[in-house]
Amino acid sequence: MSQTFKALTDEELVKCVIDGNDQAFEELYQRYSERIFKLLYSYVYNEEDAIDLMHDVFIRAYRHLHKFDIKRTFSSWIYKIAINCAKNHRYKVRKTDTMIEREEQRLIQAEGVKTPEDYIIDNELTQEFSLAVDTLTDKFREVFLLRFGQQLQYSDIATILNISERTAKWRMERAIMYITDFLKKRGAI
Amino acid sequence: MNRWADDKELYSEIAEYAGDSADALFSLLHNWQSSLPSLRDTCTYKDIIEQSRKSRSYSKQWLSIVATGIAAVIVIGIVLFNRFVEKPSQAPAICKAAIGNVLVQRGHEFINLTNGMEVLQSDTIVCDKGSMAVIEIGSATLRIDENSKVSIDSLQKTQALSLAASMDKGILYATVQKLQKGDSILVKTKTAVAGIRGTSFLVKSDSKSTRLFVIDGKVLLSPRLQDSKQEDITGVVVDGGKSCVIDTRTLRNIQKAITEKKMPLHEAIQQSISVSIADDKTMKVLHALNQDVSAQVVINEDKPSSINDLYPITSITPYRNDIVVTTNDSIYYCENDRIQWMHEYNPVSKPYVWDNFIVFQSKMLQALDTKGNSKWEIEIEGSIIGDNIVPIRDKLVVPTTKGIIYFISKNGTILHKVNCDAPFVTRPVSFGQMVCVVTADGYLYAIDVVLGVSIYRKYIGKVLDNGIFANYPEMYIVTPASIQKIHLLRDEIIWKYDNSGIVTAVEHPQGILFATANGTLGKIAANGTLEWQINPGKEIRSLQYTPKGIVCIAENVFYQISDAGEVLWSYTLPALNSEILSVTPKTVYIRLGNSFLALRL
Repeated sequence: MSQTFKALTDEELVKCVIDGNDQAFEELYQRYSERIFKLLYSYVYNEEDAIDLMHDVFIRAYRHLHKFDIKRTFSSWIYKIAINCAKNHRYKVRKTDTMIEREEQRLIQAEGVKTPEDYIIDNELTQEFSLAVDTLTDKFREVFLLRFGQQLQYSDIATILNISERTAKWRMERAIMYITDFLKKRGAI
Repeated sequence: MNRWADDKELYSEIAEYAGDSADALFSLLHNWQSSLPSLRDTCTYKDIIEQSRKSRSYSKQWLSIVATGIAAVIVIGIVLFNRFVEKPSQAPAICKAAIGNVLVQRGHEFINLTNGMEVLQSDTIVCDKGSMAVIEIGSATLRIDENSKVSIDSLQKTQALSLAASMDKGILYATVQKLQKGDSILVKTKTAVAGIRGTSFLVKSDSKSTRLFVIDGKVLLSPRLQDSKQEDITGVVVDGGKSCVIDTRTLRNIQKAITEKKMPLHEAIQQSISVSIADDKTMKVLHALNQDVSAQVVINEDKPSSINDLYPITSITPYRNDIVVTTNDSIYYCENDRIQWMHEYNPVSKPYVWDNFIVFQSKMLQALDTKGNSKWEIEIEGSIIGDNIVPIRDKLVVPTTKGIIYFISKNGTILHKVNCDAPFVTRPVSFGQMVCVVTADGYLYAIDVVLGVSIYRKYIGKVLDNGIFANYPEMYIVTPASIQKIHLLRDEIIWKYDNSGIVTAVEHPQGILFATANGTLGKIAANGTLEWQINPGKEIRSLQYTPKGIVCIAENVFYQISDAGEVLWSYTLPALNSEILSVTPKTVYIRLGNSFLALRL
């Protein structure tokens, strides 16, 4: 049964779920949970929060699956839900959050095989990079995370964010220029 | 081998935008990407489905509970309505101005404070460095300065207004126009409570001390003692023109007098707190502020939700009652303080509004109409710096960094193109039938506007940026060491004024205004005499002439100066490195960080 589902497209799986076959949802969950988790993590910098949000995304997706337009792509739809959840979460914890502190803690906890000096330097640089991404405003960060975090094509990003492909490319250009400038000013590159 | 290194498309994208830093950025991007954790989740799709169904049924339950609740509230409300004629309600508190990063903490949420927004009881207003907020509550106006945090503890209005605000740290300036009978306005700090009795005053506070300046009227300042319940009625009265400090040492002295000397509270307070005459400098500033702040400072600041705050504002171009605002990433058209449209470009030049067309250079030189529709775009070599687009006769004169001057017609046709071989340091000035401009290699060019050919070229040496002013057939030339008036057609110097260290100059109807590096601002009359000079302060910048006087910024203070060299008005700007972006006969637009304010002259 599971092998049968693997051969289906996302949209065909959605149709199966709507028809009452919940096992098809398992396949969708497996295809997207890791990707959605990483996207959410890039917003919240906390594993537990990212997992909670990821659950929330799939709960919403399941509940509203009957509203999904089969002619569209499921991936765009679920990314759109994920971005909305992430933005709502960010808005709630705005200014009180300690994303960079959390990122620092996570990096400290993570295991490494480098020398302590390398490890410290790499940590600092990665933190600077996280900070640069974090200080991008929403519309730039969304494009950046979808392109470099999820490696989506600009046509998909445009659909998810409801913008033109040209605007998506332009935002990407500005995001990279901003990050480069930010890192240069802080001596990270 | 990581997956990024194989992805030539992504690398080439980074290389295209990040230039020389591409490799370093690519490596960091990879590190960042691989540092993201993998999903370690014990939840299965079945749990998700179960949860979805649960929340669905909860929703239904909640709907029925809420419906029942609403019905009950309506019934109870109708019963109670007739029993209570008047209940205290929240007094309207409206934000009249918010500059910079001003946040309101409402419950657990932080939201940006914007002009016109209502402030509620229990809100805490936080003004970051370089920020400021003005809140109007009935007849009271609170101005919260930078690095301050003020909580609205109580905000009630029946027949009388009851306002209590607390500030642990910062500066609060309050004006109360007219207090009604029974009105109560209190400002609490860690060490004191100021009770207002119809006045204007300023409170500076940190965790250890409170400093109060009273401009006019009276303020009752009470120490905040640990076990005192009368803190708001027992204190010292501070009259207009006086100041008072209560710090932790004062509080200790009062406690000591009560416990050790058995002194009555009132007596201990009178003995420990001294009221002195406020220093002139502070009072002068406060008197200036005591004018109606919200009317004086016409705030036109757009919050991040409207103008993107990622990039600073680069220019403001007034047009009739509207303004065109550019940042490094967009161009915005604002009408009545509302954005009518915006385009994501990368404007590099200050727009020039020419017969209903907004002309600016992004990658191309382009013209938009006031609705934001593109009218024409043409490719030109080089970039236009600052506001160097100038209309002369029926043509637009456009100099670029490649040393080329373009003459462009209204329909976007390049009529002439003149190559002057070096970048320009001055904007083009109209000179009879010619346009004059100076290049970075020190040559003055005069170009015939009709024919589009250079008819005069003379070496004049280094001049200041925008350091030539035409008054046909004469011309002022400003260099870092002198100002001279020449007769261009006769090629002779009429007069020369030497002054080393000139940093900026602008034209005045009767001469030239100049500023020097050591903080001198002066005026040279048309006959070459020094009419006056004053010293407003170092780093004079943004010098401009307006029919209502001369305006400039020195250090962090905005000055309006009369034609005779008297300071008419000054205003301390809340942000460093502010700059005048634009001047109209009535208004000065000043950049403050990533926002701007408009001052009415």
